[in-house]
Amino acid sequence: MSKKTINLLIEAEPEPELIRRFKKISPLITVTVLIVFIIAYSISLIYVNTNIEEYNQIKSQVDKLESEISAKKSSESIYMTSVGVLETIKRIMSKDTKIIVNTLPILYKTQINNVVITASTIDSKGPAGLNVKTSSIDTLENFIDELKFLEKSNNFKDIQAAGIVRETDGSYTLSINLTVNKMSQ
Amino acid sequence: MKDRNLNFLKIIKHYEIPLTCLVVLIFIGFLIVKSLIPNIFKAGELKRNGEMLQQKLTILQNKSNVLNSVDERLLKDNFIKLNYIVPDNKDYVLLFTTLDTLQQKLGVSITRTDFQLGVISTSSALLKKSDALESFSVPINLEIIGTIDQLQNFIIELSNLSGRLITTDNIKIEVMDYGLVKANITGNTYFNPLPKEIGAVDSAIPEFNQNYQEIFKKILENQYPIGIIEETKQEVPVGKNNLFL
Repeated sequence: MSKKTINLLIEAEPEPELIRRFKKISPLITVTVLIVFIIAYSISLIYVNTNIEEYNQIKSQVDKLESEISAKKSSESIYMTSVGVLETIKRIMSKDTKIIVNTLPILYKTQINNVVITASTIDSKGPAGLNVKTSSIDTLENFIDELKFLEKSNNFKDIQAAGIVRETDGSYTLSINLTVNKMSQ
Repeated sequence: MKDRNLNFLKIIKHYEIPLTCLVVLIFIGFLIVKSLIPNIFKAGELKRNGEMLQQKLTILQNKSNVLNSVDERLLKDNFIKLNYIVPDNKDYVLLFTTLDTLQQKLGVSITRTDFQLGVISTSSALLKKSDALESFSVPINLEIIGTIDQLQNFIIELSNLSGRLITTDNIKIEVMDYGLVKANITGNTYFNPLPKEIGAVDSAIPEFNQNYQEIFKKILENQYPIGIIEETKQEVPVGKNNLFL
């Protein structure tokens, strides 16, 4: 009579692969997250504490300087007022081209004999006009040569003669418009 | 019932490692929300405030250095001179004083002085504000007689910071007898109302740079002695402040 064996233990079903992996990975993930948290939190704590110290130092310096500056209100007041006036003067002076004051000697001190500038207008932006009276056509030519020289030497540009009138006494009057060069000032 | 509990315990025991991990992760999450994130925000705020405070400190240090280098006495003693160049109001008396002083000094004759009456008559009159200069200007027209040299010196003196600052926009010259010329000068003089209050304690202030030093030095060198200015000023007849009273 042959023996029969019966297995009374229920055979365990194998766990799905995903769960087995999860069981292995989950402690790793947890430990990693915990370490990252500890590091991040420690860094943030160190950063905050260090910076609070630095911040408080700067704050005390700021408070000290503010009280020092407050004590110098009268100095600040006179200084700011003076600088305000000086700034205004600086801006006004920077707009002043000096064209008029620099052109006067060029026009009136380089005059040729028997040539008279009877009237002139000079604008600070450059345009100028002259009324010239000469005793003869030769002196008029000399004057025009002088103007050409001044144009070449970069004092004037756009020199235009508006018209020549011959008077009964043989003299000539000439109207000239020109532009004074700012570069030459 | 007993079987169900046994079954539940069996499941828990079976998954004890993942469940423990889950509990730890939830706890870490709680700590992140309650501690780490507020700390990070605090650090960010501290950084921003620290930067602002550092900027403020730099401004204050510069301001303190500038104020320490200021010769308050020199500025106080000479502010009146600055005020003569560009006064804080229209001050036509000072304008006449400047022209009278120039007349006496250079020998020119000022035959006519025109201002825009509305501009200089009362403080409520029309103010012509120049955008480019950001200062107030008073248009002025002068007729003077003198030689060309005198005329040239006159124009130089108008803007050489010896008296009230006057800039020349245009000049018309007619030649007269005896080497004299008659010049019609169009220009502007300026005034600059003073600020009513200074800025906050942490407001930046400009340095007393080279440009300011040069202008200040030029004013001290060129300006007529204050005594002479005051003396001449007293000689200028002053009318009513209000034309209608």
